[in-house]
Amino acid sequence: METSGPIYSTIVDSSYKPLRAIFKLILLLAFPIILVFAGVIFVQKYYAKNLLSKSASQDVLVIIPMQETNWQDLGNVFEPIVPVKVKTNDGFQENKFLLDSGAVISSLPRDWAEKTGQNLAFLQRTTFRGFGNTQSFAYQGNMVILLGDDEMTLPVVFTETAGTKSLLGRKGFFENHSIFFDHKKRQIEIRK
Amino acid sequence: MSILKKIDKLSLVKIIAFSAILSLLVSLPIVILLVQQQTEIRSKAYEKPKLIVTKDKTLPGPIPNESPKIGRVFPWVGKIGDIVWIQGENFGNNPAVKRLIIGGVTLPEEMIASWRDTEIQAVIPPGAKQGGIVQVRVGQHPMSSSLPFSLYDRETKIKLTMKEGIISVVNGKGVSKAKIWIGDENTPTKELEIPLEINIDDETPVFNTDNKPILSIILYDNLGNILSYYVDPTEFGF
Repeated sequence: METSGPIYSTIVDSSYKPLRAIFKLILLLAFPIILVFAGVIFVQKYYAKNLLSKSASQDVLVIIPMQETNWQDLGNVFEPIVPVKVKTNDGFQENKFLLDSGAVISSLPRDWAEKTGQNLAFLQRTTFRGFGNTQSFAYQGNMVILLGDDEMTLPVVFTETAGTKSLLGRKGFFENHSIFFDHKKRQIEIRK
Repeated sequence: MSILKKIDKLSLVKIIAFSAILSLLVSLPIVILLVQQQTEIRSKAYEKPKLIVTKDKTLPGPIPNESPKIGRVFPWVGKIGDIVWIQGENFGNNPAVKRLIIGGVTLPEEMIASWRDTEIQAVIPPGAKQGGIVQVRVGQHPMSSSLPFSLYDRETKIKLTMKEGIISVVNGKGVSKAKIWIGDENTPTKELEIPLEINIDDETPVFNTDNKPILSIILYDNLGNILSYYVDPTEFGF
């Protein structure tokens, strides 16, 4: 027996409905727009800041708390003094250096020449101009220092005057490092 | 209208998928652009430093009325490339017409660190002779000469030491004579020739300076050749 009449199957509404089409168009465009806005806000507020601070922190070789000296007339004044390990014949020995961007080259008292295995007699002799344009002879050598985990060789002059402060100067040090004086955290950062 | 029809034919799942892909395509370049913009903002704060050329020497000055006179060359011992201070008077302040000769070599301007009326600072030039002298000429004045100075290098073995004013020779085998000039800072008041016979490498006392300033010391072998020696600068005060 043959059946006649309509065959019932899944009904697909293929007819065009403008409102539904507009809704789908809005859905298609709204999602990217919202995402882009969200991305912009995220990048501006968090990502860029974190990325920059992360890269900066990766470059930090050493962080040193600021030291202060109490002067009779001036009160407490910050001293840019950093303890740095210097390679000697008996291993690394800590020495306090004054960060001095006014000094052309780093300097150490003369007794450090022998400690670092250098003979003054065979180092190049130069004139050293100190504070108040006082002049003396200085002997140009090298020192190996440890900043964080980084070992580096810096040019240095061994100066005549005993008891003077050791200096970290421009040649080899300031020209290759960034020094950040963070007054808020009361610390000095030496960066690559 | 045809675009809307096509969009309408797409299922909701497809619409969401396309939307996600579109979001990625649009947001990626924008995010990269923003990150780069941040870097640009930082670099804008940086000012390119201006190149400043500084002149260390004073401008050429006049010729002094009196003739130049070298007192001493300090220190009297050194290596090629070391600086020496030529102390004396009437050198002028960087005079326009001048000549400085160290160990037979006329110094070019760049090897003269400073030239003041009472002191010239200069580098011992390559080619300077062992036992040579320093000569200074200013304008048409006669040339002034110093006492001889001693040169050494990294191969030098003979060493002079000074403890409590007594000068001794270390590793001085072969040294047969020492010539010593002492006096005040500008004038040699005493010239001594001390015969020596050193056959050992130990420390051999040579001379007591009585703590007077040394102006020069030259060592000789038995053939009269000048021998190189070095000193510990700290012991001799330079």
